Amino acid sequence: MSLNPPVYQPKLQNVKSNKFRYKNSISFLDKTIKAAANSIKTIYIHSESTARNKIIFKINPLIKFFSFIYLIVSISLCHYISLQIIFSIIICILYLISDISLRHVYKKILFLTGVFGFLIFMPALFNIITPGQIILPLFHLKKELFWFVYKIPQTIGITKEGVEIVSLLCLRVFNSIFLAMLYVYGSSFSQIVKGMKVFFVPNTFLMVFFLAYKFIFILSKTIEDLYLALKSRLIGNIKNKNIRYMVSGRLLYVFKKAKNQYEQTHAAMISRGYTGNIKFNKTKQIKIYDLFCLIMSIILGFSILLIQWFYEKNS
Amino acid sequence: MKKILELKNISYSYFGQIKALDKISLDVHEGELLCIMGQNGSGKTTLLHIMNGLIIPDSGGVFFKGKEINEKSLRNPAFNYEFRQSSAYVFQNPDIQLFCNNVFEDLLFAPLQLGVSQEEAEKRVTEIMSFIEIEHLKYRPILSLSGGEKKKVAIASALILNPDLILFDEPLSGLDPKTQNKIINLLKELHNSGKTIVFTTHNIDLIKYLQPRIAIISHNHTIIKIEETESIINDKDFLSSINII
Repeated sequence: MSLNPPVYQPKLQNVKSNKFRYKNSISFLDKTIKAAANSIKTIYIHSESTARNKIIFKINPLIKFFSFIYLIVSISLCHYISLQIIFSIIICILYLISDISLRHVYKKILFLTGVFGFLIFMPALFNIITPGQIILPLFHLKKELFWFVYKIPQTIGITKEGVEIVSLLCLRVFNSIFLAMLYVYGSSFSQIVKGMKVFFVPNTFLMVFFLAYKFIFILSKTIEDLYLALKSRLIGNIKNKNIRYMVSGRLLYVFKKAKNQYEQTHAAMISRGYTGNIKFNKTKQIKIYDLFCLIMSIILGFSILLIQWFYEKNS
Repeated sequence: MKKILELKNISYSYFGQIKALDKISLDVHEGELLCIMGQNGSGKTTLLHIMNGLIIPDSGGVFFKGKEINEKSLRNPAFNYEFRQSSAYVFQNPDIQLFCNNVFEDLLFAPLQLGVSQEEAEKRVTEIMSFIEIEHLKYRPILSLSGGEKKKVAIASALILNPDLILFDEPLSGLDPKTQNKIINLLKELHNSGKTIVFTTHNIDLIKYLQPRIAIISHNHTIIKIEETESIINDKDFLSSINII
């Protein structure tokens, strides 16, 4: 075998003619993989380090988790737009008190609200789903249509009732995500896991959850490395189809690697005394500060629901 | 010297097909520094796994302080406690070994599993962090640590129970020269304090410095030589034949 093989000359004409497609396919994959890996790392690092100095971080995990679930239930039970707005303002104040920058989270909250709040409930805007007073007519059909048990009216448009329903649902989703982000950014992952103990979740399940969390980071790093290695060897005319083929070929390898890593981690756990019944470090004792937070969240949820009850009684 | 670990004629194969170790017999004495050398794929890591009771050999016996390590004995809580407390293993890849979220929680893991009280465990964590000089990493997420820092934390997590026997798999792999020096000095210090250390390496400088007894595993997965450092490193042809130089 020659130690000096001839240098391969790529067909530059092909590269030129497919330049647009090549650039697009790579940049799309680039952006997706980089963005996914960066988001995962940011969430991890942020939740494990920066939150440590915040006031919300110091609340007992059990109290924090209970308060979070209690407030989420309160948000779900609240069916007035005005009260949901009050909830939003209160959560916003909690962000300010907790010293968690809204700048880091607002994009995620708006995106998730857009997908799970607006897009999913959007059909309810129209009079096909929610009959009522049309405030924005969109289409006019020749006549009313009947299909199965459904009636499609002659004028299709957005109704006042639809806007109210979708606004309420959107606000509910928004507030739930807003609060969930506060909880996530104000707690380390181990605090979140420990908090689940308030509902008597078994330790073994918590450990599986714990390891699955770690697995996400290992997997994201492995995929990122594999992709960069692939990218470093790509020259010239690469079609979308070929990239998809290569990436899918690596998936099995990634999962095999992940399985091997898991087995090794399990061995490391056994080596350090794990016998199947995991023992977590104890959560700190409940202090007056924790009780104050618990009482405040109970009062908050209860008073909002009380106001709603008065509203309903009087109307 | 008293034997801390005895391997009697052990063989192991993966999935019953891929041979990893073949009729290995080896004694490790208390306070000894033993190095296992061999080319890649010769079975060094598998041997350490067997020494730590993580896998059970297909045939032969492993004895820790005279008691056999097998599935039955490891199911006995009293023996398991004693064995895990007295024997620690530092994996080659610290990412595998460190599975908790931050350094403090990771170091607490082993003592808590072995029933040490929270207060006592926290005290030990503080002591070991001071010994390894990693106090500044206490609440750092594992993912944010450098390779050298991870290695130090992995060593601290193994030393936290003050074990008699410490197994190191490639202790210097992937480390920069400065961190390598620190780890080498730490190994020396541990050995001087009376710990039994078994490690694997390809690093000839490390064995020249530490002067351990050396067991060589051949590509046939058997031990072909067990001798002192001097006689091994002076035999250049032999070292070349096993891909060490």
